[in-house]
Amino acid sequence: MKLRPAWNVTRHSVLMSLGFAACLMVSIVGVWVLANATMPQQVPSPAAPLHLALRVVEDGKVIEYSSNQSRNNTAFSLLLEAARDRHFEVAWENWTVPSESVLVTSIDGLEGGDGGRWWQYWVNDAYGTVGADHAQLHDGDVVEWRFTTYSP
Amino acid sequence: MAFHNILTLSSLRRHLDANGLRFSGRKLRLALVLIAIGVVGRIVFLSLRLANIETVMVASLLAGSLLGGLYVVIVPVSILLSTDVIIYLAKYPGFYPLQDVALLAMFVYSGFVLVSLVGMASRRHVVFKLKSVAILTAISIPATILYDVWTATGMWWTILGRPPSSLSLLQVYSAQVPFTFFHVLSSLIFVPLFGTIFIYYLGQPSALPSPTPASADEP
Repeated sequence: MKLRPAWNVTRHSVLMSLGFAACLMVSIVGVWVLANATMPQQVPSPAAPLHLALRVVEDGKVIEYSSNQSRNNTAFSLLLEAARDRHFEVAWENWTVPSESVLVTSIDGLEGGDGGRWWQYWVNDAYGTVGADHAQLHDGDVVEWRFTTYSP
Repeated sequence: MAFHNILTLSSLRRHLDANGLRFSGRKLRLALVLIAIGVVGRIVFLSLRLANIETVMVASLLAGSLLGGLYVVIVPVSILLSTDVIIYLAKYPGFYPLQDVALLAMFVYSGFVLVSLVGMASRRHVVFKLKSVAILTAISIPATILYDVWTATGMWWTILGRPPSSLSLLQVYSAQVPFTFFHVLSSLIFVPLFGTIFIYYLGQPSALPSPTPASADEP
């Protein structure tokens, strides 16, 4: 039986390893590019000022806000605009993967998780199913933030 | 004949080893290391708010391919049980109703056990050589996609398909796409990394015996 020289086996192993590593790097870069291409994009600023309204419904208290000249056209940015105008605090978590997005954890001192209740938003009575900073608003939209449990 | 053959202690031991049923000390230690990797990775990346970047997938895959037997269930379930207690009770308590979370958990847990079974199916090809890393990396991609499709279906069935979300299955799958790409990315990074480490470690002279096919003619 003819044996391959030891240095041949070593060179073969190194080449195979380098080949695998190269394929792996190409795959990682390719998937990274695809992931970024499919990520939800940030909502662009509106071309013209919008007429928007926002309501924050919490325990026995409702905070109302409206604007005829708003440039904040997401449910989250409108909430921050209302917070500045009506002087209440908003806290949130920033998430990076799969896209830059936020999770609002506290409004006006009420922290999510209290009794299983969390801050959730509706736009024109339709439940928000994306991050609030990806929920694009249009002229005349009404946003409502409720401190409630996730239930029908 | 096979039943008579397992009556001696040594043949019983061989029978259990061949089917991955004996809790040998070395296998148990390796299982504990895989569980630790899964737990620490899941908590660390969640703390960094990097959804779908996790080490549970690689731990489940390696448990199936390198350990087999009951570890296919023990490793992923142990990781998930211990981290779910922390995540859902301490971090996000009560976000979804408990009964919905329990139903969703069935999909998540079975999904990772499924990944572990996929790993076990490749066990005959993982013979403690470096090229086995390539095999594990290759199968981790369809395993990750399969897991994501399965759990997205569960998420739709238990939570998102009902009010107040009321999303269609197609909408849920569409929303899942970027998550899945990052999940595949996570597998492409962690499977070769941990696979190389464990396969090198198990390839040492005192390594585990190679998986042998069960045979009725075994002495």
